[in-house]
Amino acid sequence: MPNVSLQHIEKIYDGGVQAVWDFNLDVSDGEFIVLVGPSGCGKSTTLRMVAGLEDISHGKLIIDGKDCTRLPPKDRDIAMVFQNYALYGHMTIYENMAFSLVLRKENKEVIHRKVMAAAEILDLKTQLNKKPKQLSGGQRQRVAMGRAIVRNPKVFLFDEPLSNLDAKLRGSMRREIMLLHKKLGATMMYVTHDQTEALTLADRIVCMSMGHIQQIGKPIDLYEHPANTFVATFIGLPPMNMFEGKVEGGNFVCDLFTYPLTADQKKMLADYDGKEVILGVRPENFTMDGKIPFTVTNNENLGMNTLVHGKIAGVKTVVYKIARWTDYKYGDEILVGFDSEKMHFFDKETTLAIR
Amino acid sequence: MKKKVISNPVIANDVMRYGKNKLAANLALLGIAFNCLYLMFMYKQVCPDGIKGMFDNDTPVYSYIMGASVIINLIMLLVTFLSSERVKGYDKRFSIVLWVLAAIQIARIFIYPLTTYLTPLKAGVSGNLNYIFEIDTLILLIVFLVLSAASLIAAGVIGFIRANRLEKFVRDVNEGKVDLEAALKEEPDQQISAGGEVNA
Repeated sequence: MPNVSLQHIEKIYDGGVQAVWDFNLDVSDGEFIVLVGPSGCGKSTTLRMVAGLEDISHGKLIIDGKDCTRLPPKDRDIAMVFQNYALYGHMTIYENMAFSLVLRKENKEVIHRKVMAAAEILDLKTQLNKKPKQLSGGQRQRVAMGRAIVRNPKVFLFDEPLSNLDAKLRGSMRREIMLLHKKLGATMMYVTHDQTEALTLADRIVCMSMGHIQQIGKPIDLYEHPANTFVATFIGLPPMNMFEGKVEGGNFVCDLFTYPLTADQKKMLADYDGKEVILGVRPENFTMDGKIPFTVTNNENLGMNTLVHGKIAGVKTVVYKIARWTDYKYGDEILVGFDSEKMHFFDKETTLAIR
Repeated sequence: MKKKVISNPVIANDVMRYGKNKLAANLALLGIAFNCLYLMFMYKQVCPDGIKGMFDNDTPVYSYIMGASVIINLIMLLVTFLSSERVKGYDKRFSIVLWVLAAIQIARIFIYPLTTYLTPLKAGVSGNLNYIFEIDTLILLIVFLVLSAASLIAAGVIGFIRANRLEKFVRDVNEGKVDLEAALKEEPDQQISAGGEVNA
């Protein structure tokens, strides 16, 4: 039985603006789900509906077998961690973490054991007597997580918890959240616009755009088998290079080049002969043994790999990722090809992947 | 029914490390409250008919002594409040300060209300004695001062005992005499439900 089930959930605001359309998702017990998408795609709204902070306009929310659609937040047995920490500045870290249990009039001994256990997990034991303003951003976010942990909720909700942190801290906090999930084995729903967080943390990713679910799947599925052009370009950094063209006589033909299709690709695109399609190639799936002229405009060495920006046929800007240090100069001409196993084709009309 | 008392003494001591000594601090604040009541009733005697007679040169209480009295009382209140805050943080030195303040409250009984009450009588003053306390007012003032002193003494005693207990506990933990980790991992005596509720 799924731990959380969102069935045909929709959110329509008073002005008639619809933020979420027919959202369906079953989250298993102990699963880590990441909702990812650009700003305004409805991911935070969805999470807030699960938390009870937003009313659900249509649909049903089931948590642990109980219909929670109209239940107030306090009765849903969920805990939410916010981007801005939401700590009480006048309370110590210990008091902040214990606060929800004190409100529930828990036994002091139980409160203490839970707070100390959470502090141990989050490495906050030496900070318990401090006030939030004495802590760094990462430590404050750990306190916010600790406050959620002590409640031992059925579901943890994270609303962009790392967005306020600098890049280095974000990386270490990301690893801490992964460890936390492993230690607690709890069901977690996590909202982010950062695809790195999504790819590294999630058991499954829900990719959203304009209030609609674009694709649900394991991170590797979204990366290697994107359902449509939105997912293909949103997931992956740098994004997938897209070329619009046609399938003609066993070739992919576009204004910039003609590329011969493999037997498997011809079979897959049999119904598209003469029709317009979009070819997607990830930056790391270019090869050096092709015949397509590529003019270098920029060479970004990142240490373990290099991003070579350039133009194909002097028109289309693309990015080529090479897994070594290179020293291309502006204007260098190279010939590139594509890894035929890693080429993605999309229907131009529907933008859906052709498989 | 939820159980309020912490059964494990190690946990009870450990809780003190992250909590405040609210009982001692609140008792000190109670001492302030009784002191304020004392002040209200005392200054009421200075001008029983409101501001009428405020500039009456024959009224002996309107003097530099009264100004000094106000200042001393403000200082008393301030020091008591600050001590209550420090006692809240298990600072045992301020328990001693609270005892000193309690001693001052006791001493005040013999300085102001009692002496003022007795002086005109000793001098054989007769006639208009409206600046002298009635006996029931005198008793009320003494009761407030005694209650204030008692609260401060109690605050000091509790503060001192708890501060010592905490000090010893921290020392024992640091010296390895108390296994705090084991105590925290122990299951509580009572059965704990999923929500963390202890069933007595």
